[in-house]
Amino acid sequence: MGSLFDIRLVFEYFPLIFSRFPITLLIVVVAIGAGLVLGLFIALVRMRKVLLLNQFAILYVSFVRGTPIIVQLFIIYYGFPLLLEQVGIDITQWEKIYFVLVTYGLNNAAFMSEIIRSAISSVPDGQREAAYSVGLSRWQALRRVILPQAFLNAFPVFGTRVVNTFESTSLAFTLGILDMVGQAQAIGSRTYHELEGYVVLAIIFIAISMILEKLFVHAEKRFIQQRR
Amino acid sequence: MVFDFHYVITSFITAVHYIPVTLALSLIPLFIGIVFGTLIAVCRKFRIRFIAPLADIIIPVVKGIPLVLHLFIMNFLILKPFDLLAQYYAWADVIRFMDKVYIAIIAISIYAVIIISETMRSALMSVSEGQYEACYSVGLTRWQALRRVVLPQVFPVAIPVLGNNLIGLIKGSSVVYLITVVDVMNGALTTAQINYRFLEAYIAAALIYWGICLLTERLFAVWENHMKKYQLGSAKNNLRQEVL
Repeated sequence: MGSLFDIRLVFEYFPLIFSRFPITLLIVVVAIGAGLVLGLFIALVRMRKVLLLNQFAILYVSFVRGTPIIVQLFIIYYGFPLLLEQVGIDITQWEKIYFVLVTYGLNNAAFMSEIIRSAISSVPDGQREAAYSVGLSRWQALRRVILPQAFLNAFPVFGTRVVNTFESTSLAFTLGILDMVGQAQAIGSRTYHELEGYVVLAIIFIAISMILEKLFVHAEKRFIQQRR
Repeated sequence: MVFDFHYVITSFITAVHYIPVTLALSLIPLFIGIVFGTLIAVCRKFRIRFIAPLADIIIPVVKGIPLVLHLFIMNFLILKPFDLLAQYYAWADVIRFMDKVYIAIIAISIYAVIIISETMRSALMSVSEGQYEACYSVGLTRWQALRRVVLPQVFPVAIPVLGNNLIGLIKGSSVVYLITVVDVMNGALTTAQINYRFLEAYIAAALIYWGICLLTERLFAVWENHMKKYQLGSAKNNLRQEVL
């Protein structure tokens, strides 16, 4: 091993590492999508105070928020097959990426439920009462009156959550999948030029998270303009 | 392999001994982060020459780097030059004396300074410009205004966010197992390396992290309430809300 840092290798590794970007993107998209759906469900359970489910939701959200995502990744990886074995489903042959997707989805559900809950409670009660008074059902009131207003309130926090999710995908490689970080590690251990790979990763992460932030700020402005 | 709670307890007992390591890996960076983060935030607020424009460029950029990468880069930057020197001078023992905990603390501290400087910046913005003007009008210097009027108002605002930052650091510190530092996570895994009970070990680690995070949340909530007592403004606001 010669020099510590060779700038030419940065250019050489960039396409190799960036070619794994779709995997990272897949994790983020699935995590946000699953997080929104499950999160809305958890938020509704907690706001309506459904018996038993409410207590379970509180415990679940507290657990996800109180433990590192690496630990969650491995608990899902080792525990999920055992759990499904009880119901008779065999998933031991699953690719590792599915476990990553399940973990990030479940992880995001907890955070999203908190965001959605605070967004819904930020809508004044009068709105709900007004919706009921004109004869809308509970679900109609939620979908047509409350969620559109809550959406705008939650949007900045939602943006931060997306960026955070993107950054936390840097830990998915610990399970052994070949995403961007995994690829950089593989190149590093093959060529002993780890630093160049890390620099490429840093550039990609900085660029994408800055682009995401700009996009969300822009989108927020557009939404506010449309409402006026 | 069937889940056996017995092994969770075994792992739990081993991992409990490494709680001080995890706390050191999060509390030291928190402290460094508060000191330097506040300093950077204040420099940016007062537009100090050279430092403020530099911080404006560096902080948004470094904020985009995940903690794992900070850790890997620091690990490489600190260890590899030593490695080369050691080879050159034939010091075989240098690496053995270097405890990787210090590398982890340095990496997490850099990360903490960045995120806490953003926390403090938004907390500083919550103090209105009139406060500064009032201070200057009675003849206080910038530093006096900051120390006696502004910062006492900033910290109560910042405390809940700092609590969240600390929880983030505690959870984030679990990545140090990747550079073979033995913290709670790695401590729980040491037993799994012998009996192959990985699920049980991870559950034990999860329980400890959960406990620490819940405790931190409680402590910061108590602290926040304690700080609120000295804020007349917020008490008045609450009163107004009750009246309306």
